[in-house]
Amino acid sequence: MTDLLEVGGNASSTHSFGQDARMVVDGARRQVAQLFDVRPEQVVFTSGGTESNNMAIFGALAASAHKRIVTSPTEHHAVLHAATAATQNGGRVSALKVDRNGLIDLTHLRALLAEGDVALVSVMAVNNETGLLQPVADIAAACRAAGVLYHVDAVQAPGKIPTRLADWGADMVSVSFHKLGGPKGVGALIFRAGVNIPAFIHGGGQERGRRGGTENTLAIGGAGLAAELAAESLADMPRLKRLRDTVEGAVKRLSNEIEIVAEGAERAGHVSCFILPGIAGDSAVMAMDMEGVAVSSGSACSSGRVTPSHVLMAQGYPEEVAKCSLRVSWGWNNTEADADTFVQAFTKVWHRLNKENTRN
Amino acid sequence: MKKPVYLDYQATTPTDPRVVDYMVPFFYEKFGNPHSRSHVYGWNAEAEVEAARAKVAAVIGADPKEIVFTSGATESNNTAIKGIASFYKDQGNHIITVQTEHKCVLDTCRHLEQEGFDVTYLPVEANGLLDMEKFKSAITDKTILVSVMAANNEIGVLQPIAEIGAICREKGIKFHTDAAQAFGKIPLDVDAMNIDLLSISGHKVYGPQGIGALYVRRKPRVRLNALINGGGQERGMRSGTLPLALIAGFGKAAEIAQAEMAEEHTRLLKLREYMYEEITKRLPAIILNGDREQRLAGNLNLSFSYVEGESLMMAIKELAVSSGSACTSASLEPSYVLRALGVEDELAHSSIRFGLGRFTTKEDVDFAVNLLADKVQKLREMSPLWEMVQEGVDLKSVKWAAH
Amino acid sequence: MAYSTKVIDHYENPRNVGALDKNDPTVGTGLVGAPACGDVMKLQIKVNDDGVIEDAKFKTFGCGSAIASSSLATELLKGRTLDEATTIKNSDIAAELALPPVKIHCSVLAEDAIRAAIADYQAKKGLKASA
Repeated sequence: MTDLLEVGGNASSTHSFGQDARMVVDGARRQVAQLFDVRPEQVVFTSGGTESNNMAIFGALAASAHKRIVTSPTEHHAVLHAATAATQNGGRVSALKVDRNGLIDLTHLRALLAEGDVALVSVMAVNNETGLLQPVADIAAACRAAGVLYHVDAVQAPGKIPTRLADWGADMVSVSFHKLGGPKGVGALIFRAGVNIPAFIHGGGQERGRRGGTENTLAIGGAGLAAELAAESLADMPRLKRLRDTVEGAVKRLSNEIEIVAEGAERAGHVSCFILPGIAGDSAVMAMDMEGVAVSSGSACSSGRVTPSHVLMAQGYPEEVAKCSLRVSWGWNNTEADADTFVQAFTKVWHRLNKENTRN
Repeated sequence: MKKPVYLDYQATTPTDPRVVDYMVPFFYEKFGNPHSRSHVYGWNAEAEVEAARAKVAAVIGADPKEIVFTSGATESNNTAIKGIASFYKDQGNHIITVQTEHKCVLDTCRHLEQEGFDVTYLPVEANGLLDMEKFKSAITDKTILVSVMAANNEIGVLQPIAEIGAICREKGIKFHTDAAQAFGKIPLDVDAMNIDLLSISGHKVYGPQGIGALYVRRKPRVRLNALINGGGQERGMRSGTLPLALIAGFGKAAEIAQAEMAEEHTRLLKLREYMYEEITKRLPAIILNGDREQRLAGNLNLSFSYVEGESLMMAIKELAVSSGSACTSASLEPSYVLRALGVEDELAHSSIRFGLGRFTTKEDVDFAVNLLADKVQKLREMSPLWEMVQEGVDLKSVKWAAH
Repeated sequence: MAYSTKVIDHYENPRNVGALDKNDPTVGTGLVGAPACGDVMKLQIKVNDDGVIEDAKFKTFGCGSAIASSSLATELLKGRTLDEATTIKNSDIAAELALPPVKIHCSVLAEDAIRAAIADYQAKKGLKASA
């Protein structure tokens, strides 16, 4: 991708520098389209998953006569806050019921849709904190039957689960590429053929008028490669799942007080969310860092603030428990040795923090 | 094939090799999410983001806390204009902007008109500059926002930002300027110029594409409703994971631009004036679009009368230039900026923007001048309009059959 | 948008650029298009006593396709009788140059220029335009 730093040019210019940039963008668009098995013109590049989510939500409302959004309370903040902002002038947001694993209640969804005033349903594919898989195809079928647009925040999905749009049946899908080893600063919104919403960022007429702004050639080029690599990551998933299961097994053997969130539900294979009773997530993260292992607590994007995980709270965990989560995720560059390192470090940290805890 | 000579620095600038070198490690060993405050990858990333923020702020005399990173100037302009309009809508619904603003400002304003805002699109004079009297008389007690660009992307003219800022401050109106073309090219001082919001683009200042910034004044405090909502990054004004490598590169680009601004301005001004003198010496009937003095040193926008624009572009394929603005050059509409100056359609069709920049040499300019002199002469020999003018026919007196 | 090699050839090596004396009674001149529309074509024919076009010249203000269309038109005209010349259709020019759809109007303009030149010649001769 660093080669692309040499491709100057504005992809909207007609001269050869611009055309070089255009080729990079078009090529990447084909690669991303392939990941979802759609046509290139169904792919709109954005600055990231957050913008994609905002674009889908604001756009769906603008395109609809209704002003109500149905979403799950375990969504990423980009969806929840965009939904709140989009409905602040007269609309409303309805939260779906979820169970202890975070799984949405389909009966509740159908009941809300039956009320006839829903503009958009937004439910993610893979939860970023717990790895839980939502029943995307079932949600899509319910929305289709009710004639309501369905948006999927799939930022965590590529490379983790199959992402064929036709299998999902969704109308709009948000993607972020740095979550799949690509660069930051680029994302996409994938549209089902025929779905159209107004522009969110106006100007310039780029992306067929659907998203203004000079194309981010470098990052888009990287995004294309990342999309291609997602297929390899998907093939690597059974290996990561084995690493994860090994680690989860070792952690559980350490203490039966430690809970694994959504353990019994369908989860993507790359992530574990541990609840360490009585140990604040951020202390565990710090302690692990001192042992040379980078992990996070709650959702990474909000961990600058010491707040309990809104995902766990929505799943019915009390606030003091929701502050005690540790998220461990595995990627292509992790090996069995890393898993061993983690288990050793975690064993030390657990014993130390647990002892401090009982002393207090 | 030999690469054409790049003279399109207002469309985008090549990333400075020093910026590239600076960015590369951030794709490999220096990765990390600057929002992960609990491990060392996150800390280092956060430190780099703050360093870049300070470098960008320094160019415009701002406090680093007043810089919000965005995906580029288009997003900055959208955020500033929609964000102010929606936050202050209870105080008034009138916005003033200019007909020659960048498409993204105009498109955003048109969108706001659909939402019930009144927008005044001020005309410009024949030199592309705003008439301050017309500006003053457009202000009403409902005016909440003025958005006027610092430097125009097509004709390079510099609007009287300081004067506009002073008036807006006095009247308590928020003042936004799209400085995508001006940042790092001309001195800008948000305090001295009373600027409340200022949009910046990374790739127009030798940094990477996909990154930009919005300056939002803290004292007196300017508030806005965010455009992109989510994790609450950038003090809630712009959510989304910060792209570390792009930000690092943008910061480096800002640092270089500031350090070299004065020297580079002098060099480019000399080069541009040389180019203009040489072209007009060798070709009659060349028209300069936009004021000659109040303009970016690296911009020359010329109309080659009696020659059609597309065939001229074909004839000078060895130059990478733009006719009209880069964002619209896929269509054949004459540039709306030139139209606003009162340039007739046929002259607008034959106008070319030459953008000179950091890597433009005198050899590049000489090559361009020679090529232009040769090709324009050939096309004029082929032009029935040129022939008629040589015969003394006033083209305006001809009754053309429009088709 | 990519031009065909034939358009580029005519654009880079236009045939029959130039002017004939427009006051010569054997010369017909057609001037069509408008500067504001981006194309103006001037096409001239010189007709001998047998009614055969023995020379044709053009000058064009316009895009590459307009230049190529008028250049090709002059080639097609030479050696034809006036009656034959009137059968030249814009579609022939567009097909020969493989013009993209957005440039078809250039060939239309070239056909207009041919007709205007013939009409001018016939007017000078005091003839009615062929009915």
